[in-house]
Amino acid sequence: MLTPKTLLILSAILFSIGTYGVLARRNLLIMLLSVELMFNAVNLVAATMARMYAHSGGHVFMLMIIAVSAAEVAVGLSILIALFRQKRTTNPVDLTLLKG
Amino acid sequence: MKTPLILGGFVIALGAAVVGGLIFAGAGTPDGTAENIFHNIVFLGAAMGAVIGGTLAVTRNNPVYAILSLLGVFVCMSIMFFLLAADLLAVLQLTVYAGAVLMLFLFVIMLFNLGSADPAAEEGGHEKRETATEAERHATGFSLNTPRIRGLIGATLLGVLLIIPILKLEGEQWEQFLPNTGETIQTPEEFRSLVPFATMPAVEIVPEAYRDRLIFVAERNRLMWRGPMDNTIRVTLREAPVGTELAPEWQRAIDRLYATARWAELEHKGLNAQEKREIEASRISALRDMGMNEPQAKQAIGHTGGVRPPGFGSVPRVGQDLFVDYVIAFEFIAVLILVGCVGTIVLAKKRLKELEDTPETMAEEKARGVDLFHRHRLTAQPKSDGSEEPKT
Repeated sequence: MLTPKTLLILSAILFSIGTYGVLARRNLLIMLLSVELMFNAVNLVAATMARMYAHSGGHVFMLMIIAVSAAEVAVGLSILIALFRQKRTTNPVDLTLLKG
Repeated sequence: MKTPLILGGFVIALGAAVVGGLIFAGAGTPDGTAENIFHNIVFLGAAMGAVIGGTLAVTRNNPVYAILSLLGVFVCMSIMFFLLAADLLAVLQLTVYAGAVLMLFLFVIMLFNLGSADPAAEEGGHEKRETATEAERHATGFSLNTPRIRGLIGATLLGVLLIIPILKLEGEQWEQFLPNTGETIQTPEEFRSLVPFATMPAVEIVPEAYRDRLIFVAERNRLMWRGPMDNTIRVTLREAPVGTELAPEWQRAIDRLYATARWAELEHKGLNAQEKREIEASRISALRDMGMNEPQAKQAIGHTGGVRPPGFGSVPRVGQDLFVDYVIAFEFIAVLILVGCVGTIVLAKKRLKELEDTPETMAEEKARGVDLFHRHRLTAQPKSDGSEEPKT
């Protein structure tokens, strides 16, 4: 069961679940959470490829992804905080300032 | 179904799978192949846990439950990284994701009291505005235009799009490919002539599928695999000082290896499965004469099996990659994290209105009895009537 194909399919499934979370949820916090899930799916692909080709570049890329996602979560949450202070809602439907 | 029950059951099942698998799997096979069935059981448990946790995380209305489910997902991913020989990354995953990112989420929820469910559930959106979904519901009593169904369709399409090329992947094995590194030796005579000039000669045998040459590398006692591709196996001639003749069995083995490799390369188009097996068997026995064990020999001739170089995914290896081979990426990431820190603070900072001190205001406050030395002149919102109430 621990084969590259299985791991890649699992990663695709997790990515799709994260996509559902981003598309279907109306709470910005949960959308950020789903993006984190997508990041983890990509991490799994990187680990699988690193193991597959015995190449440590996969691990380095995973480290980069972890760091980038941590920074992105921090900035995203601070944007959420700023928005929440102004509008008292986490629903992205209410963010209509740029609406044409 | 009640979320705490689901989460609790999920944690118990996952823990049982992991503990049971680890008990029976032992410390793993010495050569790193994952043929042990209990590795597969642990992987199965972790994979199902990840999918269940992910589904829970995106469907719970209570954000705290969603975060806890995501924590379960992170733990399952960490287990899978351990199974994939990415030890440092597994620990870092837990440290950074579970220990920092989720904590950030929980703090935001806690400080801004976001713990309530979505307003008006998923279908209508905001109460004040009637969306297309609401209109359709009022008209027909049922709507397919809900975010849930749209999300399901979108996610399913994406999943199908991603999975189709994966299913077309050939082979169930951990294939390993590598380019040629170092100087190449084309004939056994060349090899024999070069050996006396090295202090501690090592021979790297490249898998037959891609290169049928013996690579001569005059390096000694490498701690880690330094090449871009680490699929070569070192066969060290033990304590061979300069000028030593190769022992006869070594010479025989090298000749046989070379002979089978060249023959296979020349005639690979016409080989049937039986002949291929015979050639592989002879090459494996030749390599075993040289001191390799079975899995290393299999890997050296190009068989898959997932043997990985020693130190793969370990801390020194990742450290070397990060600080020597990919140091530019590391520096960029450091700058990115710094920028993220600054940006977070700037974005989330409360806008403070600094009040200016004029002699009149100071005299007024002194008359009121305010301790001018210990008062704070920064307030969040100035009062509308004009008199500032200093915070003490």
